[in-house]
Amino acid sequence: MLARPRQPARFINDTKQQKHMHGPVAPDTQSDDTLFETLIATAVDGIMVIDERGTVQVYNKACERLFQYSAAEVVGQNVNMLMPAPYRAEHDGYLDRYRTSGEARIIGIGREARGQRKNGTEFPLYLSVGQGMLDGKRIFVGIVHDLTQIKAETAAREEQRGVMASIIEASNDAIISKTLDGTVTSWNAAATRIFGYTAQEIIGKPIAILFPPDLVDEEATILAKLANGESIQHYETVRRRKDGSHIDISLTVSPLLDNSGKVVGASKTARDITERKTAEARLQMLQNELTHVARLSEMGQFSAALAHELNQPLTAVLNYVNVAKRLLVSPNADSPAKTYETIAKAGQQAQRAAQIIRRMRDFVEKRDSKRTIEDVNKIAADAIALGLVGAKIANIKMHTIFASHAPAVLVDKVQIQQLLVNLLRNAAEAMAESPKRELTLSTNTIDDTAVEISVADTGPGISDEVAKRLFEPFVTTKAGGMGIGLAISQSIVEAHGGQLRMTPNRGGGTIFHFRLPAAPGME
Amino acid sequence: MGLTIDLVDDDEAVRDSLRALLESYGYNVRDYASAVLYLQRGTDPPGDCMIVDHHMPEMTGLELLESLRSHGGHIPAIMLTGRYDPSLDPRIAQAQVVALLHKPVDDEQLFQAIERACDKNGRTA
Repeated sequence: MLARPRQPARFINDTKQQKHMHGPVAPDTQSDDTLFETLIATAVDGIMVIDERGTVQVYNKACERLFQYSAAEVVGQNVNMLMPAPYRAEHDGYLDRYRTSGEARIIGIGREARGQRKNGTEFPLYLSVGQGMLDGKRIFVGIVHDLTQIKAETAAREEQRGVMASIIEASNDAIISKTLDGTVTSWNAAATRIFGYTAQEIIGKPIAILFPPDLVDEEATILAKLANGESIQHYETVRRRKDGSHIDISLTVSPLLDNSGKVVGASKTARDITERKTAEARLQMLQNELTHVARLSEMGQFSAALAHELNQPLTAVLNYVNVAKRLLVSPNADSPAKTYETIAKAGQQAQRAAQIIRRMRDFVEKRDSKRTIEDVNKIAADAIALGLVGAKIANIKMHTIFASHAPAVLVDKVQIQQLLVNLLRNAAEAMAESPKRELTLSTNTIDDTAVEISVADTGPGISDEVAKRLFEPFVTTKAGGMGIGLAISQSIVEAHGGQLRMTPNRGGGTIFHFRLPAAPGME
Repeated sequence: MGLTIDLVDDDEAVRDSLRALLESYGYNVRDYASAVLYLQRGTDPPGDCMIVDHHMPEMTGLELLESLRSHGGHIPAIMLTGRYDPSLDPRIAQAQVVALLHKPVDDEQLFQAIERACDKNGRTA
């Protein structure tokens, strides 16, 4: 209910004021009066009227709720009882000054102030004050809007922002934002640590100053992706520090959207992966050594054993043939019989050599009893991990194009891995001198019975002459090679019911491809 | 009269064919299927030179030569090998090997080596 002041407070407009200047409320103004009182009573904001001495004339329901004082406690009292120190003490002074000099601090405008509840607690409020004349006397009308909620929300937001800011500042990863044209807009402490530029130095500058000269076109690719709303996750690349040195980083870039969802910039986190890279390089070096040693001893042992095995019959064949040649020109009577016998022995030794080769092939083929159902893409990925340890150092770009729904294959996993490792290493070695070094391993679903794997390089390619005999043992283009790898590889593919084929790579290089049988009846 | 060559090789075909070849050139050949059999040959005096395969089970050709040398044996030796192991070079030199020949052996190289070996021993073919 509206608290009635000792004097009715009426201040709607001058004419009304005139009407209500004196006496009781006239019947014809009844509805206006009711409207006015209802308005005051139902307003959510506190409404009060004070006279020029600061005495409260009107104090509505909302005020009671805000200040916890009832109207009876406030009306007729100095309004400064609703104010905390120091306003309480100063308020009378304001009124005096305004009265004498007309200097307004708040009148006609509004400002944030603080109120004090009956229990002594304070709350933030927005107070707007208007002035008017009532019964020839100046009155002030104050509207009090409670800011507690808004202030609390703002404070929470500020706090959150503060927390976010300290998280960003404390992050070990560089966190950077930039506009879509690549201008840096924010830069955290880790960014300074990683790249050497302070926030002051780089904000407003193009992000491109972080790019090594050979990677400047990377930014265009990144920006194009961002413009499509795509993000870039853990992209490993190289950036340049202020001092010109290079740093390995892992980059995650996400688009920054405005309220309408439009891409307006990008946030970037960059992780210094130098340490990891160093560790990786060390590991790789160790693995290299190990692989090298293992390969040397494995291939060395194999080829030495094979060479020794084949050398024995070969030595014998040569000896027998030499003996036979001498016997043919010998005048001895028994030499034709001896010649025949010697040549027969030479033939036996040639057979023995052939037997050794056959045994070697059997050895390869016998192992195919261990057929299991395998994921072709996984075998391929493993082969890359196993086979290209050294190739990474030789600066080879590895591409993989894996069939997305390749059927499972029924293969000897180890053999196929060995075969792929062999093909990958061959390809890497073939490209050692090439200006362009790109190795592509792809898997391709042919139909539900077969998957094709191909290994493509951008090396010098293989001459027609060598190509014709490529899969024969001991044919090689490699300086120190035995020429056994492809023969064994072919045996492995044949054992899986396929053919290892070689075709020239368009634009230079060679593609080796073969098919593997899909596992039957897998639903 | 012909020179006598002691031939030690564990591979029967190599031994048999080499023996036939050497005999066709007029050498007398005594062959042994292992280093141990050679050492156990008894009182037979050593030949004018020996051809010994390195890769043999039980006792290698090099071990055989080292054993002979340590007992004052001076027989000139030609060593055959099916696989070359450079780490053995110092030992091969120490064992006074006249020639190290790789299988399959070129017959011209073999006979040149035999001549050199027998020269060393003061004998001529």
